[in-house]
Amino acid sequence: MSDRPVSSAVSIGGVLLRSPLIIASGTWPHEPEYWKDPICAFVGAACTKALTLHPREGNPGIRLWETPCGLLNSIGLQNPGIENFLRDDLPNISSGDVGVVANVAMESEEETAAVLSRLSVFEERFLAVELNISCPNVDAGGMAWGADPSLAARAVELARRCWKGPLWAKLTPQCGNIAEVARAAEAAGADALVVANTWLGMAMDPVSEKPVFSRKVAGLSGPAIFPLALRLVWEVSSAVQIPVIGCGGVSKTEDALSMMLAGASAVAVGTFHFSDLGCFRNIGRELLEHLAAKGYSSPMDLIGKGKK
Amino acid sequence: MCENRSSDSLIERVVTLSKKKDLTKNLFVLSLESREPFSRIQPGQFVMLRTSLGMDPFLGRPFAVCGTGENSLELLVAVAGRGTRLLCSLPEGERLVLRGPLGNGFPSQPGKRVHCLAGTTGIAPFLLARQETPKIEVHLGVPGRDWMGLATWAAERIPGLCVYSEDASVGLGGTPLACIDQLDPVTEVVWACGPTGMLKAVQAACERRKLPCWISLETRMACGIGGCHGCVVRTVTGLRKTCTDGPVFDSREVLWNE
Repeated sequence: MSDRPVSSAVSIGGVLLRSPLIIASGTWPHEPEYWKDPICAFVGAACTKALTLHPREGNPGIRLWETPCGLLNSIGLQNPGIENFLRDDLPNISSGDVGVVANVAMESEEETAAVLSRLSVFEERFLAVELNISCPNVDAGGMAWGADPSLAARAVELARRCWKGPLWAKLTPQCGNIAEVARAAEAAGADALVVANTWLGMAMDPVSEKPVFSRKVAGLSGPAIFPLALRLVWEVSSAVQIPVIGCGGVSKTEDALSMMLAGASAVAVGTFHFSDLGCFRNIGRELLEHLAAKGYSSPMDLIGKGKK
Repeated sequence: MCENRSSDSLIERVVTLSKKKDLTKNLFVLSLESREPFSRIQPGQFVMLRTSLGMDPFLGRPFAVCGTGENSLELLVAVAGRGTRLLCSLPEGERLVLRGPLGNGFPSQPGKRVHCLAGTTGIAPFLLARQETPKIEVHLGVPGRDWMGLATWAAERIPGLCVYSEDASVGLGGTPLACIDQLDPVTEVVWACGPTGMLKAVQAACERRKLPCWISLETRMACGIGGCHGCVVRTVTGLRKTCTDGPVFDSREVLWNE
């Protein structure tokens, strides 16, 4: 046992977070009160909705479908576009108590470059850019940028050229070999990897005898996917030297601990806070209690310990 | 969930199911007690309610508030799926997690006479409205005799309640829309809450008569706080979130999702 005080702070590729808990992209209101304590008291950083060059309406029809311990969503990257975000949302959310991570949807190279160049004007307001490479590359037949190592590398290289601050790449589970994609993103200049995004799933409506969602498939998140995400964190963190942020199905302290033991340097919580806003405080407190009981001085002492 | 794990963030709290009243088959009034008082709740505002048991289902379910006390509120809950079935199966004394009050309620209408048109459980916000403003007139439509329990209970709380059913098995024959033709667009206003089909009919009838009309929408919802964008509805000003921009909208703005 150690008598050293326990700090909850972690460093993600040089970015210091007061807590290893991150609010996952696409889940958090861009309203100022949600970027302040006490709601964010145990949160190290919060990610914006995915940002695109132009405003996006998102997908028509049903957007949510609850599944056993999970949620299918087909929001379709609804966002106000980069200019409206910078004008209307950023002043509100960047004056709070929690650091802002700008999630950028990888669109065409031209569009993404334009978004990153606009974000660069406000670089000091962001902890990092999180590049979402789950999006389809229209020029490659709609295959996700993150589905293939060479496409992933191309996306990250572009972002690296256009954004000089910390760059995180958010990987997709819809890929052949995520370790190869991770290594490609690392080599292309990513400072950290977020592992991962939603799993593609589907729901069918027996009454209409049609798929529930207008786009047929939708992203599955929530506690149901936690073991799947944990496995990817283990694989990716074994394949790269840069920090990994575990993201997928985290709902309780044991999940956060497991992600870190599997190699994550920080842990994102998304869908679960839809039902429990107190989860950050509960996990944050219990994580510190666990560290103290184990004699650790920092959550960073846990990173990858399960591999040793 | 133990008491000190209740969410002390501004909008979430643990409540106790203090009373469960069975109105009719699959329809309950749940009374919830909180240690901390509630802020003033406007008619039309809602809460997200979930059990503290397990994670399936793990999302809260949205309900308009139908009654309030300083440390309590009441919800009218119809069993519609596994979430509501679970909520309605819990014994009194059970602890639940409540998020809210959320959203924007019906706007105050100084100098206007308000007529509330409800379809079945859509009467919830108007029970609260009547608690605060006795002059409001309330019209309730139900499908038939199976809903007698709701009509009887609501009539005890709303003296003068007008009840309609298509087959005249409960109250008058017809629907609450019958009153719209008699209303004065200058001095009277309509509030409506109920199934989407009814709201569309109310919207069209009020538009014809140029009657001011506010409708409370019901959509699938995950967070209730504007985070997920799962509950959007198409309006004349673009997509709006039912949870934070509504659930009450000026009926002239709503274009629905077709």
